[in-house]
Amino acid sequence: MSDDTLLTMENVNVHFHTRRGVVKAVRDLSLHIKKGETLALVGESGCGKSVTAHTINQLIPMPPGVIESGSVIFRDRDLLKLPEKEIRKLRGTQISMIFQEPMTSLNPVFKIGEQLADVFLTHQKMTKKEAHAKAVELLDLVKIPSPEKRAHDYPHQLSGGMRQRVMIAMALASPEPGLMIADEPTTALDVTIQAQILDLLTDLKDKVDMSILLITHDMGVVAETADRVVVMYAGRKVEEGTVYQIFDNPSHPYTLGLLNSLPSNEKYADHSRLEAIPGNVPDLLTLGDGCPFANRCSWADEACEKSFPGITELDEGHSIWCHKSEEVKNRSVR
Amino acid sequence: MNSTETLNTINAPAAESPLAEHWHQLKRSKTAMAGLIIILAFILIAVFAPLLAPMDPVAQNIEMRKTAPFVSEYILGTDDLGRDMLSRLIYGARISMTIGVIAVGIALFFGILIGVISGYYGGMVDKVIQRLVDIMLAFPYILLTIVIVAVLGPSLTNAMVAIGISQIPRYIRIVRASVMAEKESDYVMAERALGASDFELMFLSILPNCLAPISVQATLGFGSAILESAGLSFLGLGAQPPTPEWGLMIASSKEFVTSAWWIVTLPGIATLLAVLGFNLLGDGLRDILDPRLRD
Amino acid sequence: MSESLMEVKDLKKYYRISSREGNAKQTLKAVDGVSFDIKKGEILGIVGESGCGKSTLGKTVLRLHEKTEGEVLYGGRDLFSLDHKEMVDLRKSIQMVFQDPFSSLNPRKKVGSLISQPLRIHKAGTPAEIAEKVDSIMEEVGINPMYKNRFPHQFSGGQRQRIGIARALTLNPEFVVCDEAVSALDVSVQAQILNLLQDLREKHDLTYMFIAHDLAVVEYISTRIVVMYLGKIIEMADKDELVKNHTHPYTKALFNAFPLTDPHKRDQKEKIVMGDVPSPINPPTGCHFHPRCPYAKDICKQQYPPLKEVSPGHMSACWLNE
Repeated sequence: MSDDTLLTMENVNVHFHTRRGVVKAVRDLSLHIKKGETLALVGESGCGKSVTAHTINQLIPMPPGVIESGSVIFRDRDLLKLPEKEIRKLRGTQISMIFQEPMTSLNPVFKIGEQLADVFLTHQKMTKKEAHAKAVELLDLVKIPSPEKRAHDYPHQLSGGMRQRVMIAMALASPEPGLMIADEPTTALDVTIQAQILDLLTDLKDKVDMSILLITHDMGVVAETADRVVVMYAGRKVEEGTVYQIFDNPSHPYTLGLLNSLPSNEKYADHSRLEAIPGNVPDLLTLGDGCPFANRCSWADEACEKSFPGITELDEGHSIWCHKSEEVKNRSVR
Repeated sequence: MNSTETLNTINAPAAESPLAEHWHQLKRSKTAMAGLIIILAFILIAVFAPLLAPMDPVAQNIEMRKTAPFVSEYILGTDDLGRDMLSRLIYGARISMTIGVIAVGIALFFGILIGVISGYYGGMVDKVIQRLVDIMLAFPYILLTIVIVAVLGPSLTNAMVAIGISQIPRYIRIVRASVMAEKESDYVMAERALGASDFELMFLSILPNCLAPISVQATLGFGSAILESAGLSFLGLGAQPPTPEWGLMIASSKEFVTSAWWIVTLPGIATLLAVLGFNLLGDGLRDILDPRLRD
Repeated sequence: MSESLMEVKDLKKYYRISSREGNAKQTLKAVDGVSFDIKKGEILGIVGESGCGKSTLGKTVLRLHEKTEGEVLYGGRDLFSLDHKEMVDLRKSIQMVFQDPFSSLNPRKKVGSLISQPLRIHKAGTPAEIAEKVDSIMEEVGINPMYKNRFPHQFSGGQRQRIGIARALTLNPEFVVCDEAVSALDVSVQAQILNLLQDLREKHDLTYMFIAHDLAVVEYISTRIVVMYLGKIIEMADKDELVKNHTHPYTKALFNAFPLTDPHKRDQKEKIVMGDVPSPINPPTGCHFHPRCPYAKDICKQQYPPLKEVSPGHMSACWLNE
């Protein structure tokens, strides 16, 4: 790990103790985020991507959640060992979060300008007037038209896209933004609005020097915005690489299957049948220690059922966790 | 891959039915379980009253009048006419449970019927029904019951009917509100698209999904029916002597409150316990089934 | 081209809603004068963003909503002129698959009962025949019939959608409206369902009206595509024609905004569309798209452009076509 690393997660295990049993939501996950990069955490529902995000900013409901082991080093401090008070200080300043539904994270009874100014007033010494001016400046930065006027709007008076912009502005209001966790930030938005928000995020990341942890199920969003990608399946990391490595040379059977099942894939120009991944995501309650994808994978054999595979490095920064990496490689010429 | 790629390869996860899920939640609520145990105890007592009662509840033993509890074979003492308190209380449970079943039954039947129609059709039908409900709710509750009994004539049966009728508006309101919310659901639209009739949609599709708030209200209603019947009997409008009805027992012995406290107090405690049981269970159910109703 | 199965003529569906300020009622024109026809055997894709009226359109052509104006001819008869009994009868041939497999299945009914419901409603057979039919349709959509005594919440999203599809197909309909039928599903499952819908269409000779906001899905499955914006059709053409030669700036914007799954192309995209989707309650004057359109001219602000044929079978509503 070099010095430009902002956050390192090592061997994190997160379990949820439910009445029906223990759900191992995140298993043995390690990842790092470099300064200034956008890391996309991609996977389908139940893959553990949101739990991972919530582990970082300590928003896992406990109980039933338990972080069994691991460390999350952010700017030389292990977040899992920090007292609640310190974490609270970090949240909203150095680690901010934007959600799928921005309405739920904005207070409906305060004007958005006030809510933004509040962030400044809590963390920095300035007068109310200065804070308001700063708030308007931020609204302008996230490209909200006529920000001076909009600052006096209540959240419900804004459209979904505008609210998401306000949430982004909130994240930027901190004096030293480090990491922005964006949990499905555009999933609830129309596609023309999504494009604008993604553009905005990419622009801002360069302007304010922050890293983005983008959590999404949408491979298109990943292709448009990510620098690096971690593919997760049923709580496990199965493939990791730069966005080009992942899209040009997808090497884990799951990543391959995911990209192949996209109807936008060029190979379906002739209207042929989609190459769907058969079956369903496994039940995390009954999942054993083998490769979680084994029951849906056409390459799988007994070895895959038995143990989770070790790392196979394909290229610099491009790794997969698959027992059958050789076989997959030979058959998967795109 | 071919068209049968997924055939039989998918397994439905083993999960529980909604009922089992609720039962597990209920078991975790101590107060609700306490309520349930009390209620079950009263139900058992009511059902097996003839076996449990040591004596005839109306047989008088003038010599043993106003015997205090725990001093003779009359374990809980006797009343002013020398009747066994314990037996009277046990038979009283039977009467109180019957009152609950009949009053709540009447209220449920009409409340659900009218409430579903009002909520499902809306418009003028709904407006008319709701104004009538408003009028009924504008009367003080007990006054309404008294008026109905006065018209029908004082008797235990009429008291049950009166209590049932006066409880109808609550059920109409609750059923209507949940039907209005449910009828906007996709599954109703989906079943309409299949050609389902209004009757089928109202009573077979929507109603089963409204049972949560209804069962909460019914449980609480059971308790209040017992309380009200005791009230009516106390006023002489319900059960008539020598029926061992708790309210009547209190009324006919109120002058002995200082001299023979047990005659007044014991039926009071029995009433309190029964109502408490239903309220505890009702509140527990409400927490589990319909968190929105919490107030 | 074969015969029309359904003809929609100038269909309007307005809602009266009370505004926030005061008691004045406002009109929401969810579907505002839409005309098109659906040919037997085709898959007509309807695409557009939220508030464009695509979902209302889907429900109105099945008479799940009453119309405000216009006609929906099915087999030559106007759906809205049918009496109750005729309409119930017709429901056997026109069916719907809903977006949300979580809310469109009655949570209190078992799967077997859900799937057999249409058969029972239309009295299509003896109990034994119905049970047999349920088993065979469950098998066909890929759900093991041994699960018919389970409740919907015991299934995953994809499985529930299969149940929803099974229910829609038990009566052997000829026309099925799929309203965002795959949007709530994970990508890998979405592909399974899209394949299933295609297989079933071939096997049962179905015609689909496929409503979705996801351009990739619509582009993949449709034979013809209608693009809607704020209650109106703005462009309509055969799939290949629309993909290659779309003329309306909004269609262009939609294609542009859609994220490609190729990171190498991320910097080559034109960014043309700006601003928010306006509210359908007070749509902009003239062409509804003009405030967001980089090519807007004066006339665009004043008059709504007519839907005109720009090439055979390709209709577009834009003043730039003039």
